[in-house]
Amino acid sequence: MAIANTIEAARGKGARAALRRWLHGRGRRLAGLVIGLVFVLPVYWVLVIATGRHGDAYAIPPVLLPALQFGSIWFVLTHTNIVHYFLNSVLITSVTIVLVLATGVLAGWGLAAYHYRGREALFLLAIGVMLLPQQALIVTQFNVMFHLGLLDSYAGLILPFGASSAAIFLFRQAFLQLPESFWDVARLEGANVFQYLWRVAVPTARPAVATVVLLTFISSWNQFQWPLIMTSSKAVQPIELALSHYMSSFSNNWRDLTAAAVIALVPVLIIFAFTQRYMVQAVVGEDRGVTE
Amino acid sequence: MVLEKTERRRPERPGRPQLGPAKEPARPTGVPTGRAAVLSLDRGHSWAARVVRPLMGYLLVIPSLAIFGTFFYVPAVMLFVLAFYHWNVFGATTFRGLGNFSILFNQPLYWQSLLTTGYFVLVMVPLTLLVALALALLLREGVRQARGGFARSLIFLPHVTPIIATSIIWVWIFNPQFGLANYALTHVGLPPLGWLEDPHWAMPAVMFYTLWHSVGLYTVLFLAGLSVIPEQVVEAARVDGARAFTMFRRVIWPLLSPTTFLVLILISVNTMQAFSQIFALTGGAVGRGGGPAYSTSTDAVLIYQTAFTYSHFSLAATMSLILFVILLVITVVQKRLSSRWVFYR
Amino acid sequence: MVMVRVDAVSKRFAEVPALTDLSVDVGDGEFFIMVGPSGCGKTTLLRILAGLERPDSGDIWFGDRCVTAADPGSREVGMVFQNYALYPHLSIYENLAFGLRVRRTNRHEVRSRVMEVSTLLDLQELLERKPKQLSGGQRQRVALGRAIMRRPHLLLMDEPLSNLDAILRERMRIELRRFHDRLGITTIYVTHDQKEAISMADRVMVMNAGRIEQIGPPEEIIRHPRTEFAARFMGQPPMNMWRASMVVSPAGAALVRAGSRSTWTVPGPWPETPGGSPDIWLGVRPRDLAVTGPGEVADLKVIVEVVERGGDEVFLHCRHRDEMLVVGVDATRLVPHVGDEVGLTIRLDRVHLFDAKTGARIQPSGANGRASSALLVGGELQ
Repeated sequence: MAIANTIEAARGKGARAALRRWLHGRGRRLAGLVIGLVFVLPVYWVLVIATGRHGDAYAIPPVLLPALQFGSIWFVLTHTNIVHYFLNSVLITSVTIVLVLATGVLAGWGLAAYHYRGREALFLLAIGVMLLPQQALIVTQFNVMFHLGLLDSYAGLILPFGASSAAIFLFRQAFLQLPESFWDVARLEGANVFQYLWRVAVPTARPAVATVVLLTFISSWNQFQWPLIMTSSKAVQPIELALSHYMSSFSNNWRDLTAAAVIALVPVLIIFAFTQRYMVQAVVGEDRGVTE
Repeated sequence: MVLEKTERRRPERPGRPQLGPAKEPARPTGVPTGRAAVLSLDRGHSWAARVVRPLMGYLLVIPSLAIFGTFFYVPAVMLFVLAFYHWNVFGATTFRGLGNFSILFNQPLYWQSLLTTGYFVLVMVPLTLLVALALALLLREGVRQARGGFARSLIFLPHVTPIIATSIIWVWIFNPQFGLANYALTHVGLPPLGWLEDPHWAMPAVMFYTLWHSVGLYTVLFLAGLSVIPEQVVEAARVDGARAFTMFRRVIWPLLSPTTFLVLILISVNTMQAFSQIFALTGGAVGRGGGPAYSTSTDAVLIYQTAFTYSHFSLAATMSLILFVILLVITVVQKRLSSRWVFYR
Repeated sequence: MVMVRVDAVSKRFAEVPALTDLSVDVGDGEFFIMVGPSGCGKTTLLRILAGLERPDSGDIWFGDRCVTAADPGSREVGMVFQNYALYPHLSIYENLAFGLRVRRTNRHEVRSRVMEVSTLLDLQELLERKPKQLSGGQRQRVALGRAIMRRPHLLLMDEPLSNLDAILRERMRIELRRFHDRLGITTIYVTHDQKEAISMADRVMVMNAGRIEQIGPPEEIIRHPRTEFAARFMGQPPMNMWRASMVVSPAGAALVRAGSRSTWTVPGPWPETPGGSPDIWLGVRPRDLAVTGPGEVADLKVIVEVVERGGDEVFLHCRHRDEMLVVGVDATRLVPHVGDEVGLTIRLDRVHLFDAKTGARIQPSGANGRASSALLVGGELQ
């Protein structure tokens, strides 16, 4: 009898066990989803207010559903310089991505394919940058930028971020896994290093390329403090800076303010919607790989 | 078709005239033999191996290192020099020795900023860690499939959003009159708060935002850490009768410790360097004073203000140097401790 | 069209010599196989021929062109790698077209050449697929096709069959040989499998530790191995090798094995003990040993341990004292059982003698030489 009871208990019959199972299975998933939705709520709210009726922002209790009136967004698009800022961001981000890919591929190849003394040291130098605390450097970085004449310029917003330790790490790893015979074949066919990189090495390292593009996009599009400090004229400023300006000039016009925020958020949200799995992998894979 | 031969070229076997030992071929005199400076991955001792190879390797890495050197390593080194000088970016520099430090330490605002930073870090680190861990454990479906699915992506979303854009809505949420926060509070019978305008509640508001923004990253890291715990260990423990809590304490926690330490370092370092959200939440709309009564002026924020609002570059450099050293020490100490406390399989 | 001449090539990696002063010539249109154990330098030599490595000293000539310093791409050489090295992200068409694309050949030319080669190797159906969708044999054909796309003068192959299963390997041996004959292209082929070497080659070069042991047509190496290493390496099952001593008598040669003190006479004439020492290796092929018939005197007595059947032939693995040896027996005859003690006779006119110190073959003197016989005393079974 005792044995049968134990077995039954183990197999989880009975109401209590059933409740526990539900709690562990679907209950959990439900809770997770609810929490997830809570996290997304603020972003959702941006949309609500931006497309809401006039005065919705002040409503108590707060309005729940977006009224889907795009007038405010239209207004912001046409009556401010936000498009200019947006295009700045697009320019800066795309050039940065290209640059990071180029330097990352070259450095990754240089560290993977050739054997020479000092190779390890160079690699450590390339990775070591990540250990430097960014906030502590900003003042002297400003000094350097000033003396290089890079303040208030696109170059100043792009160049310092044109190389990435993560990119170098990822590409080096990808290239280390290429069999040497691939390169032998290319040599026999008369290809030089750059042709090989372009036609074989990089295409084979497609996951690394995707990861680098995503990571660079996130950090470049979201940059705020750097342009805040390194630029003063509005000509080259990216979109986060625009929002910061509007926070003071629109201070109480919540609808227009959130409309501007929506414009800044939309590209990120769209890309996230399509690539969320890869984005998470990109961040996690890179973090774990570097510090371990 | 050029490739085909029409006659059978198959040579007969024995009896075919065999080529003898190498005869002296008709070689034009003066033709150099041996290797040339051709790009090759030869691993031998030829000139190509010793000179061209390293050269190529270095050349390919130079663009990246040049950028790193100019914009990161040089400024780092500069810190250790300029902190001892009186300088502003545009003008002359004069040596001051430890003068900057004595000026700095006489500023009560500086000490306050350190306290604020400490407050920030000491709350955020355990709070973020616990929430991230709890979320990871919740989202984990079964031991192996730690992907967490859709909910995971939702929790991760804030982390990739631009900070200013999302700060805007949080300023609204924290608005004392019509914000969501006070609405929720009054709804459950609690008094409304001043939030970003109140010196006592501004920092907690910032913490709230920071938690919202960053916990997704750490949750995902924990999920990854959980996913490498071998299933057999968990199964074995379950067979031994371990229930949820024991399971956690004896099995999951130790095996998770590498990730935990990583997350610990990341949270501390990132929190100490937080800037954008503080600026946006308490510096942007409310005024660039670093929060009501400087209550949200962390070290990082103060550095910014000192350098770029008031142009006291010398002091800012000194503060930066101190911050640099602190952060480096934290990272190193934690890495050292990790080898003692972390349980590696 | 091209003769290949290797002229005193040496190469070392770090402190390890891979090739030492190696010279060999390969004739136009020949199927030349380099065979030897791992690490003997055959792949190194192949890579030097391809231009993927540079020799430390010596030269390589293709015809009358010195190519020692030439880029791999300019040597007009095709190479098939052991793992085929097909680019996984390209279709078969693009893999084949790779070399032409690198040289910016126009689209039509590329297409016609690819069709030409794929027809030759029966790859037309597979052109749109990716390498991972192909079987091992198909991938190998693609690798072969890629190697000949630019109409090279020389085809190099680095153990191309070692990744295939046994049946496929047998078939591909024939296919490759037929392919070679059809194109008439000079082919240099590397393998560690002496069976492949024997079945496919016009000439074989046996290598060991960076040096040449012997070069010649396969049958010649089997029948007249010039070094002890070549004798051991070639032939299946391997030659039985025994330590012995040799003394040349005025009439012929005689051998004795340890313990039994029997002296065998090997018909001469043999020169005076070359190398100065009487120690030699005595090599006897399994088929040159026979089970004694009734009334015959055994040269040695052994115990049968394993009977290995293989179609027409049976191989007896026998033990003599604490050494093993192999005897080849005709399957139609009566085959001894495991555990039997049998006597063996040796075809003494077919044994091979090698100097124990140098490994070099001891040749009988010419017919006009003094008739002498070698007396071999006190050896040990190896």
